[in-house]
Amino acid sequence: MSRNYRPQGGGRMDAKQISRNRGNRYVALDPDIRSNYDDDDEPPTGGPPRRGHGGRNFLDRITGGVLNRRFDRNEHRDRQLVDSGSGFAKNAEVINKIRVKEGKKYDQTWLFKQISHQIEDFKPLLPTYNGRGDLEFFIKSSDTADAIRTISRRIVHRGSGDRIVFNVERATAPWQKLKRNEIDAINKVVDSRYNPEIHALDLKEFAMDKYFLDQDMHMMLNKNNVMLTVIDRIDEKYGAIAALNLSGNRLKILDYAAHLTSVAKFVKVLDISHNQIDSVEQLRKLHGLPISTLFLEGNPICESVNSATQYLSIVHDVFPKCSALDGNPVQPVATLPDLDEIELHKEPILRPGYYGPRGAREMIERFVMEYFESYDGEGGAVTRMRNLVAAYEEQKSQFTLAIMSLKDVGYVRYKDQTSHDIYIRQSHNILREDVWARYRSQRTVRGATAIAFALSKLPITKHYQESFMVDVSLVTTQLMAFTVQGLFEDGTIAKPEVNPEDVPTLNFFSRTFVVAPRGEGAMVIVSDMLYISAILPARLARYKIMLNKAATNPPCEQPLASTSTTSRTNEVTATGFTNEPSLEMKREMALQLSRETGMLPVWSEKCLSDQDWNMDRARQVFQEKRGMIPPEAFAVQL
Amino acid sequence: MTASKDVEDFVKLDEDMCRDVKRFVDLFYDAMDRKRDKIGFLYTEDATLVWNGNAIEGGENVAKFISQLPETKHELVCVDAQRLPEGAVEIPKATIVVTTGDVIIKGINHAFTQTFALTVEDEKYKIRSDRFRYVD
Repeated sequence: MSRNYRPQGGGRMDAKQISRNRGNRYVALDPDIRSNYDDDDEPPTGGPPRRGHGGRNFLDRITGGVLNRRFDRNEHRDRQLVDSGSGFAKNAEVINKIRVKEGKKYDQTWLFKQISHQIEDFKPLLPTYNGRGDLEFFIKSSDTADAIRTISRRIVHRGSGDRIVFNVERATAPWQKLKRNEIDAINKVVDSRYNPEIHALDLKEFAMDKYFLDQDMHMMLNKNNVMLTVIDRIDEKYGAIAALNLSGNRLKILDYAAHLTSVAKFVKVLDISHNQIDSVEQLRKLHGLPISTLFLEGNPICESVNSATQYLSIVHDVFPKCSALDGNPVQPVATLPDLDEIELHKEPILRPGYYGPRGAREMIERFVMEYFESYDGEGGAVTRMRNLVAAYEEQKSQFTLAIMSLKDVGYVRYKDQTSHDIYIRQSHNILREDVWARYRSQRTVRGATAIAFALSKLPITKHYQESFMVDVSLVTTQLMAFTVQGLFEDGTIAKPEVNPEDVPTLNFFSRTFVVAPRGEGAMVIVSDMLYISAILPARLARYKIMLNKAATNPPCEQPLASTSTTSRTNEVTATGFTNEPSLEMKREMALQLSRETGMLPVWSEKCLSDQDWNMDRARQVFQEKRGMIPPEAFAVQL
Repeated sequence: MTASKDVEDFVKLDEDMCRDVKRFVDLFYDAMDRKRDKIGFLYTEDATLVWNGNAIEGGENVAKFISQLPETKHELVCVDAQRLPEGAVEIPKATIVVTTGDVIIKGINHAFTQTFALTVEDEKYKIRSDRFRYVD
């Protein structure tokens, strides 16, 4: 299998890059995953996929699976693309071509900015409009191209409400590939011309470099592939350069040099003097570079203007911040503030699950683990009936489920039809009330026995706990409400013996529990609401990206509350669900501690309050700090 | 109470609840998308919100937090709800509502799930707690 036209790394890189683009914090969920990812040399199809029981890094396998399939197809296609051609095609590089349907309708700057918000490593090459008004551009990195594929139809154009559609295909690059030794030579010369002290790269009369001349290499910077290789090197090592000299390189067409705008974003000083640039149109391709000092003299464009004013206005049209032109100070143009850039309404960051007050997390995690242990597996029908009956409040508990797939491209079919049919007979989706209204009494299951029985009749499942996202939404003294969302398989699909080569076929669920305290650290379910949706591979990949993104941020420790609500804050956060006693109980506890320690009730109360109303801890702290407690704490009340 | 009377009562209760919940979600998402400045009236004074993991407490703070969110456009695909039996919890007429759908925020479409705990205050439904989370 020839690999020479393939981007380095192989198929696994796809998933890797997607997650890396997002910061690769998936490790936070599962330390095993990094070791898997770090192994770049592992062939994409190396070893049988672990499925089912091992199951720890299943999301990667899924994403890897989805992307690997595409990759295999790529490889086949790439080969066809190359083989089909003449000798010329043998020299061609196969890269990714992105087509934005009717892209002419949208402002390119806006569109590219929206994509960059979603995809960190977005470096579009040679954007052009085809005859049908589609925007086309190339992306070298297959990983970035894959990421673009997953956000098709996600970006919404504000004016028209259109969803931007990205078509990603493999295509031969419009430039000819350089030989390895040529690339090495270019890199060597670029490296030798970098001045680290002033972050400047001097590529003046590039082709005339002694190194090239000695080896009789013709590396003119006006050749597309040379320019591209140079820019790749800049991207790789010198992305932070502040000054760039491209003078004396016979540059005329700047389509490839335009790539600098997404690679060298901090260039303030640019020397493009003594080239062949003859139109504003070409110069405008460098628009977006934050240039304050420009050298443009010695280009035909300078001859074509009638006056210094016109010359300056051309320059300012492209580089409005330019304050020095050809060595002379000039007045930069006044620009209007870009209102689109000013963000009054910022989207809050995506955080990991919120677990509410101290102590709640352990309880909920244990609950969730135990619940799904009983719920999942082939013995589910039995274990749900046997184990879960005790999990629900005997009389007052309720269970409902609703199934309706989240919208996606076209109709999203539920993978296991038999399972779907079972769920739909129980669905309590209020938006479809007319369909089930006459079965109303059966759509809400009430009481522990009835619920356990109903659950035992639902399809067998396998939930992937590493995909779970838990948020606690409400904690009072008498109840706690939290929602678990994540991925699972069901029906025959959940049976491990069915084609172990398959990657899991997943669905999305969210499950909201309202629980009441029952004894020491235990809780009983009062309300259970299950939502189920089919999910397509692109959304699956995005779900994973969402988890990664959330894991890069710290969880919310304390709810945001102003001082005016401090008392409420304390009630909810400092104490909790199980250990928050009633006022009367608190008084009782304070008196008890007072009796035991001789401390005044008010001091006893403070001590208890500091220890979250944990009597044992309060006693312990009293013993430890006895010597530090002021005497008035023990003053005898008359 | 006989079994059939119990079923009858429940059917009536569920009918009423579904009607109220439908009105509630219409009102809520309309306020969210078009009348953001009035959203505060839908929350109780002690309301809590957990928005993509960001926890906020107190009706005023919730309203302020929401007012600072970028423009939204919601579209629901599914709504489920349960009225918790009287006495099961201390919140009067506690109704749990779970919604799912799509939302466009800052020009990006996300699927989401949301959970509300509703209560009734002065004969009006109000949100005691709200949890919002992206699916993607």
